Amino acid sequence: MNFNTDWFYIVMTIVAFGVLWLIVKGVERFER
Amino acid sequence: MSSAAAGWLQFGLLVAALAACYVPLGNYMAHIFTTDKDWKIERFLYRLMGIDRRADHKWSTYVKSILAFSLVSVLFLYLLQRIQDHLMLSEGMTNVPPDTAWNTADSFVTNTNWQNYAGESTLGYVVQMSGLAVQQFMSAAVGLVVAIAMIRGFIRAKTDRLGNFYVDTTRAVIRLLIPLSIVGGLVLIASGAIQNFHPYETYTTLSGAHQTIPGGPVGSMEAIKDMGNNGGGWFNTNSAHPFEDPTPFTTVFEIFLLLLIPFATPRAFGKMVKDNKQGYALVAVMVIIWMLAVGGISFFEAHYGLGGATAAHLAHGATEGVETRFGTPACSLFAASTTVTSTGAVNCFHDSLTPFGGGIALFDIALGEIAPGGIGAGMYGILVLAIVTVFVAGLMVGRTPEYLGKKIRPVEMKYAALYFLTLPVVILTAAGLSIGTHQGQAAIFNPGPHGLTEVVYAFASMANNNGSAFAGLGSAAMWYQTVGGFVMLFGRFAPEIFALGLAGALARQQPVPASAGTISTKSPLFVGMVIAVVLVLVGLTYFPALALGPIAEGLH
Repeated sequence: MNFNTDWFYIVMTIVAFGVLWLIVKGVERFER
Repeated sequence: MSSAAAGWLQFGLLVAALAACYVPLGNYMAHIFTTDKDWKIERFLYRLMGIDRRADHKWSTYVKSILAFSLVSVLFLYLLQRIQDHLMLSEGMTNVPPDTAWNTADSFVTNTNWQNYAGESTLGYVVQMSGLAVQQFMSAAVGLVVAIAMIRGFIRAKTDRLGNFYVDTTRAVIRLLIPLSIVGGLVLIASGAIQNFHPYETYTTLSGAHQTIPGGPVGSMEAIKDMGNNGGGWFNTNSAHPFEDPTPFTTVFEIFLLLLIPFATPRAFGKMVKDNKQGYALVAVMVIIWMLAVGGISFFEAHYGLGGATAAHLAHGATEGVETRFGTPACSLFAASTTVTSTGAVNCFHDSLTPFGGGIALFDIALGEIAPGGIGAGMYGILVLAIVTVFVAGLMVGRTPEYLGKKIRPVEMKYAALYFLTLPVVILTAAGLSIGTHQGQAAIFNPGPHGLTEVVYAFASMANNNGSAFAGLGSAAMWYQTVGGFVMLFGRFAPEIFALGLAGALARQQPVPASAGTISTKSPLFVGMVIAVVLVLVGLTYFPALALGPIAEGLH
C-alpha cells in the first residue's frame, strides 16, 4: 500500500494537532 | 593574519556588537509589548482579520490560537508545494512529493527549518518567498510572543489573562522582525549576497561540462533566516554557499543576526518585570554557556591534529567539511552559535566536526535551546529552568520557593516537569524506534557510534526546532520524513502548551513580598546554580546517548 499520498499526510496533520488539542483540554481539566 | 587571530578578532567584534545592542534592542522589545498605542497598519490589519485588539485571553485561549494558526499554516504551506508546477516563477520545478512537502511544512511552521530537499533544485521562487520566508517571519513571531505571554505571567496578579496572541504576533512581525530584516537584508546584499528574479542560467565550463547557475531573492530571505533563528537556506549548502554568505564579514554578520534577538530578550524581560538585574542574571547564564560551547568546539576543531592525525595537523585543524573561505575558527563559532540558538544554519558541515566537537554541538541542542536559545523559545525555556533552580534551592533550605514574588508550588512544578520531560521523551522515543526498526535502520549509512550520533542528532535537532543536520543520515526516507514531522510538531507545541499553562498559574497568584529567606535570583550564586541545574538535567537525560555516540567515537 502506498502511504505517500496527500490524504495520508492531511490525516497525519489533523491527528497531530488533534493530540495537541487534547493535551490542552487535559491540562484545563487538570487545573479545575 | 593567522586563522586563529582572525577567529579571536571575529569573536571580539561579535561580543562587542551584541553587547552594544543589548540595552536598546531589549528596551524596544519591551516597549513593543507593553504600549497601548497601535500603528495605523496594525489597526488596518485587525479590521481586515476581524480581531478585537482589546481582547485579553486566558492561557488556554492563547495556546489554542497558536495551534489553530499553525494548523492552517501547515496545510497552506503543504498545498503550496503540492501545486508548485502551476505557480509562476517556479523555474521549472515540479510538485514536491507528499512526504517531503509535509515534512517541510511542519519544519518551517515550527521554526525548525529541517530540510530534506535541496532548495535550488526543488523549490521555485514563489514557494521560497510566499511559503517558506513568510513562515520564517511567522514562526519566529510565535516563539517570541509565547515568551512575552510567559513574562506577563510573572508581572500580572490575580488574573487568568495573558494577552492577545494575534495582537502580539502582529506587533512582533511589523515592529521588530520586518524592520530588522530590511536592515539585515540590505547589509547582506550590499556585501554580495544575490537578490534577483533571474531565470536559472546554464553555462559551459572550460572542461566542456554544463553548469546551471541558480538565482533568486536570496539576500532578503537570508536576513530572516538567521535573525528569526530559522536556518533554512535558499541553497542546499546553506551559509557555506557564496551566494548566501559571500565573505568572512557576512559570516560574522550572520552569526550576529542569529544571536541578536535571543540575547536581547532577557533585557526585555528585565524591563517588563521592572528589575533589569533579573535580565542580567539570565543573560549571564546564556553568555557563559554560549562561550563554553564556542571554546569547546573551537578547541577540538583546532587541536584535532595533535596526537597523530597527520592531515589535520598539517592543515592546522580539522578542515574536512570546512568552507575554506571562512576557516576552522569561523566554522566553530558558527557551529556553536547555531546550535545554542535554535537556528540550524551552517557555514560548515557538522557531520565533519571532530567527534568531541560534534558531541558539543549535539549537547548544545540537547540543552533545550536556552543559551540563548531560539527567538522567544530560549527565554521561556530559561525561565522554566530558573523556576526549577529556585525549587531545588528551596528544597535545600526548607522554604516554599519564590521567583519574582510568585510562589513555586506543586502545580507550577508539575508544569515545569512536563515541559522538561516532553523533549527527551520525543527525541529518545523517535531515535529508539529508528534504531530498532528496519525502516529506520535502512537510512543509517554510517555504522557504529557515528551512526547513532547521526540519528540522535537528527531527532534532537528536529524536536528542539534547530534544523541543522549530520549529513550522513538518509533523512529523505519516508520513515524520517513522517516521524520527523511528528517530532517537530510535538517538540515545538507541547512545551509551549506547558509553558503557557505555567504562565497562567503564575498570573493567577497574588505576589508575595520578598523576605529575609527569599533566595536572590540576581546574584552570581543564582547564575551558577542555574548553569549547574542545566548541565545536570541535560547530562543525566542524554548521557547514555552521548556516551554511546560521540564520546565512544572520540575515545576510539
